[in-house]
Amino acid sequence: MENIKLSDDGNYAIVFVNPEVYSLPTIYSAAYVFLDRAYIVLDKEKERVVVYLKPKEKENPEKLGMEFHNELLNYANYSSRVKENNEITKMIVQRALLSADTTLAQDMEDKEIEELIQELEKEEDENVKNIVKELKDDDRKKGG
Amino acid sequence: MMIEKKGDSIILSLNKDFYNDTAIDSVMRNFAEVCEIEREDSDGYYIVHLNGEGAEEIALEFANHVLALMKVV
Repeated sequence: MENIKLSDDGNYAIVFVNPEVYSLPTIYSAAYVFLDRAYIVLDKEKERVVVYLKPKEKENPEKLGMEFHNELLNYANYSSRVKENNEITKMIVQRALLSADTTLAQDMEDKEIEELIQELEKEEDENVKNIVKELKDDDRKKGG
Repeated sequence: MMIEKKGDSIILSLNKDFYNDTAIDSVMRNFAEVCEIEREDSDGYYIVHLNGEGAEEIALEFANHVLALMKVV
């Protein structure tokens, strides 16, 4: 691969990364994944980021370089997904915060109770009216 | 790699675009017991001198630790 080279002694891989394609946080994230498998040093050369990867154990450096490239792609995809879902995430968090706000929840509860009381009062008025009407009807029947 | 051997000393060059002095100083304090370490500023690079037994491997571990700290600092 053009972006991956082996050192002269073959002990480590040199990976060239275009910072216009992969951001610095993406490069850092990919590098962190390899910290337990390789010694990593970052440098810059002609506007390209150079990643030196030296395997800690007996591992093929070139393969390590290729895996590093895959990890770059993985994190680049992850960060673009995060950007895309940013608005939705914000909305969910806002909603969660609002529901966690006890004063707001209390207001909503008070309003609901008030509406129930009004409904009950209305029902009670209608019941009283019905009873009065029934009594009047009875009186008329008796009088007639 | 950005590691050079000069006699008993190992010189590690860390590009200022990717590493910062806070992280380097922090790792220097952590590694002080295992190795003699000095840092100097050069144009675009932090030059770290490591002296002592096994300095080359320590330099590689040193670079990894600084990189790991870059996420925090």
